[in-house]
Amino acid sequence: MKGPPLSIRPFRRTAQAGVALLFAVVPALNRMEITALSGNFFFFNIAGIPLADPLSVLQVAAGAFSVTTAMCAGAGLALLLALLMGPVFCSWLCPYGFFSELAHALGAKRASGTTFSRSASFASKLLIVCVGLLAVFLFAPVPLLNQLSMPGWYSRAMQHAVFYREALACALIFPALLAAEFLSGRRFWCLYLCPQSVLISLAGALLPGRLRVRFSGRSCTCAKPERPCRARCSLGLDPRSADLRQRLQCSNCGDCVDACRKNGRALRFSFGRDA
Amino acid sequence: MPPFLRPPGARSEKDMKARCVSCGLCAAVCNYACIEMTPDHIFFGGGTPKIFQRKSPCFLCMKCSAVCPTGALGNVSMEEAGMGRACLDRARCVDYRRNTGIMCWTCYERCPLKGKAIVLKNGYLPEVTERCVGCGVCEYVCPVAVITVTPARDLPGNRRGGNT
Repeated sequence: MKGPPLSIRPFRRTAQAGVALLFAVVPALNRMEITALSGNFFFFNIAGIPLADPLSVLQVAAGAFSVTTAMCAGAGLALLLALLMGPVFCSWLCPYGFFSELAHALGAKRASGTTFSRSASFASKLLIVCVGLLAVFLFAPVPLLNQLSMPGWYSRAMQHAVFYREALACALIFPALLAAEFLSGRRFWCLYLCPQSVLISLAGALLPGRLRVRFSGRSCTCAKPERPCRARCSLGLDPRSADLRQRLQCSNCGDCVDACRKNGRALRFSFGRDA
Repeated sequence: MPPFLRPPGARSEKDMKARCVSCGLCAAVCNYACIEMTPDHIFFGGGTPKIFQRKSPCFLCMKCSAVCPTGALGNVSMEEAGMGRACLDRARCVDYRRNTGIMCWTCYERCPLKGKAIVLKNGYLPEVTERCVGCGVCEYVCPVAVITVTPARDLPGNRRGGNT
């Protein structure tokens, strides 16, 4: 038997903080004429390898009826990551997710009993995406839904601050939402509103063999009412549930796996089919 | 908002706005930091690329149009930049006025398409030709401010630029 598995959270926090820092440093590097890394969360260029927000590519397709190879390749790579690893973008890379989790951790003590609402779950996000894409197609051929991208506002505010030495007023929506989530004690943006998470969540739920949290009932040692895994999930999901709507919302953060580590270790990350 | 141009190779205003995802790659490669991704509207920030030619004009290095991943800026040559058309007011240009004792030629000397977009008529009078792509350098450098660039989006059809 191997020793107890390492805690996942320190690795994840390092990745999240690293990405948040990266998007603050990249504009400064650009100004020093280092452009191997450039762009923001709508399109990012890593020494010629493109990465794109799949939703912004879809909006360009709906508005201009044509997309470039670079955009398709960038969106393809982002979706491929989700296909294999689940929507890890949301929990490991997204700066809004990072700050939202921190705000939730600080505010959680005051708002107890945050549970997942089944009625308004993934459907509200899907509705926003459909209405937005229809609006782009019919009335306003501009990437409207990019205005709702919180990582987009974060990276654009950084570019703005470095390139033009001024604050981007529209980006104030980012701290405003964080404050609202802190006060309400619920991560409602990621759960119910964020349109950028829809495509990667759908791609991230497609393959049964993807990396995901697996629950083995035999190892679970917790009595029924006591659920440390559920209490730990910042999105209020039940990691033991097989419900599809909950599966769509899970972003593979691994907090439940960490919570289960000292108990029965019934929750584990793995690839492949269920045993 | 002060007058502004779109970067070289930009598609028509509607088509460019449909394609631009505000990634800022064009602003990041711009050597002269002349491309600004300022919001189009105070509450609804589109953040499409703009060049405020009176603050910092485009020197037609053509790096921005080469990196645009969405095709909002087409990858074109200097001569095809299509940003607008300069218009020189002869009545106020010092080279055209008699007895000033000044041989300015600043616009001609600084034009990135020197000898093509701005030529010297009779060997000494600067004249904007129809090959002008509207980069805004002449408007920026003119010491007596008699050159104005009309952005491509305000040019009706294929109006020839030139001199008044």
